[in-house]
Amino acid sequence: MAQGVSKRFGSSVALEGIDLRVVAGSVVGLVGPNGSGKTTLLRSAAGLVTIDSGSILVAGAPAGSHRARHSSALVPDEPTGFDELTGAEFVALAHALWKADERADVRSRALTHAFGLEERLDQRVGTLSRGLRRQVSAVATLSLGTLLVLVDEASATLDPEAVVVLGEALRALSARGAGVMLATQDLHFAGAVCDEIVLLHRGVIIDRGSPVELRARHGADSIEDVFLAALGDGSLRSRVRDAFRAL
Amino acid sequence: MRFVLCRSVARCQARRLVAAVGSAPLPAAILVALVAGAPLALARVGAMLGNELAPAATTSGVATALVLGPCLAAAAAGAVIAASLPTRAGLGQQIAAGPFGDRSAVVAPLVLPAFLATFVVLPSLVALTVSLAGPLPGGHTAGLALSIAVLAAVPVGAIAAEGAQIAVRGRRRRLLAFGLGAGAWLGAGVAMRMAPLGPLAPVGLALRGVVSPWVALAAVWVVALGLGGTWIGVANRRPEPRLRATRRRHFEAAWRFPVSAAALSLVARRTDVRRASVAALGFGLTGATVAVVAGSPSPGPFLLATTTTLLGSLVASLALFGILVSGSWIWLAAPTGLRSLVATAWLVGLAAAAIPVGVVGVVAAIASGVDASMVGVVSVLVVMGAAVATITGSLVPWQGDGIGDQLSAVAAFMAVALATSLTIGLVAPRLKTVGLPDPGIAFLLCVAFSLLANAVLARRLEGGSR
Repeated sequence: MAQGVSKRFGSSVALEGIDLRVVAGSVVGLVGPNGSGKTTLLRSAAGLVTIDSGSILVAGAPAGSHRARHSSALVPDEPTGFDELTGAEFVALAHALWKADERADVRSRALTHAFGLEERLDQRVGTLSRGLRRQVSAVATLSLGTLLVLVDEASATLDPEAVVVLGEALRALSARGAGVMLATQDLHFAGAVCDEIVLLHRGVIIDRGSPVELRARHGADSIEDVFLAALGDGSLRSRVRDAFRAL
Repeated sequence: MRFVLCRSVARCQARRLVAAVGSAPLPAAILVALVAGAPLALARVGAMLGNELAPAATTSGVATALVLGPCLAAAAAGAVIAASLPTRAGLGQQIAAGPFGDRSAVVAPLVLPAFLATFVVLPSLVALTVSLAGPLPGGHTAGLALSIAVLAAVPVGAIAAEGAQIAVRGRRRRLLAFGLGAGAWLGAGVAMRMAPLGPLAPVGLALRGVVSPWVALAAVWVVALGLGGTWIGVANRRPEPRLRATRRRHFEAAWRFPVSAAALSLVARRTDVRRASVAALGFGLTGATVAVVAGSPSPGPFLLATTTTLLGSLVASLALFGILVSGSWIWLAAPTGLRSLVATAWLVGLAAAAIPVGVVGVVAAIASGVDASMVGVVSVLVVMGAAVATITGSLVPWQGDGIGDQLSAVAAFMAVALATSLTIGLVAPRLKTVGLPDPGIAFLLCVAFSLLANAVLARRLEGGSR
């Protein structure tokens, strides 16, 4: 749960007075233009960024505390740092660090099979493509069974099959009782997977609601149109078409 | 928990090292042979120095200089390590979010490099100091204490670098604690009448035969452990950087960014390079001040200051390959000759290494005076050092993200530098017997090592980093 969360980087505002609640069993999607604060909010919840004001509680503990870290896990946009470990070793390391139980092994096997990674887990993470690296990262995080799952740029670099698997995995985790907070630019993915979509713009929440509510409120056919309407850019397409006549 | 993390990080570092050795097995084998032989050669050098210094060793100034010189160099190395220590963020976001303490994140990347550095440096250091102290009043045990004092100086430099970061980041309370620590250091030194050495003063006293070397050995062990623990504690609570507002520039289509300017910007904007250069400047100026205040004759202050600075400023050359390889997708795809790119980059690294040395050198020269030959010696050291650092950085890349990249590169640099000095020690006298004058030998060595650095950089860049 985030309350009045603000964060600045130098003179630029990353987050301003964010109030947000990720209920157990729900998937909340953060959607917004580049630089709108989605990643900062996820990283703050993971305890990787110290917020300037407000509070973030994870399972009742302040974000960044040992208990909060134990109750949450992150799939980053760009998994780095352990390129020399094999995929299997990386997953095992995450399990050891989070002191995961035997069920984590069962979950990781199911996720590995679903992503089709069985033959890739013996390869070193650094030798895998970016998309495969993210899949290994997802297997490591989603198999931990934490109360809160954070996913940055959820569908970025993943192939269409992996996007489906990831969406189903996140739905399955929320059905089990976990809270999921994801950031994505894939509005179709957000519409299909999220129970609630939060629209961020320049660090501020400008609209929120279920995909159905948002479409109805903005009289839009798709989440993409909701996004453009909320940003006040409904005429974007026609505007850039005119501008690109010069090309 | 801590063990699991340490083991995984060490496994990454070991595999990276094995890959580096596998890509250049012959140089690695030569390096190992030279490092293995180094203790014998250094024992001979130490014994010669000890015999020359023995008559003057009972004076406070000589004993202080014997301890302070290597300790300042070790402190500069410690500052470089602190500047490059990746801490929690270096573990990557996914693992960094894990439920373990910050201390584990600080300790984990240090274990293997410290272990390797111990194997590479400690035998040579002990051989040098023990044989050096043999003819002195304190004897071999005092030499052993000197080795431990040099090791203890590594966390001193690291703590000073952390203090500088705290000052830059405007944490006044913590800065006050650092000020009190520095005061306690000087107080301990003043109490033993060797102010600059602080709690390491018993080593100086033991070398002079004033206190028992066993007492000094025990005392310096305690100090080393205390300083090591303090460093880990301080690094563990490193404050977040303050970010400045950036100037907004409008894109201009006609603007061009030359390769040399791009390379210089990439090197100069690296946080680790900047921190190491600032730390090197600080230690160099401290060395010059201490030497001048202690009344050391010329060119002592100049040499002490410039060589100490060089140790830190070489990070620019050490990081060069890592900087280039991370952008190799554009360097190699661009229709620019690789050789000209590499030559430009090499010159940029050399300039970045030379500038802090030049600044400190000018200050030391004004304060204590120096003749042209010493300026020449330091210039040769800068070129050779930059070449060695570039070669090392190409073999064991120092990059921005991978865990322990920087620490492994520092450990490898120590080994390559040791091997290079032994090689020069073998080659230079033979060139002299042929009849070449000293400046000619220095010029030949500089050209040879510069060409070698360029060749290694180009070859590794073509082949990629891994």
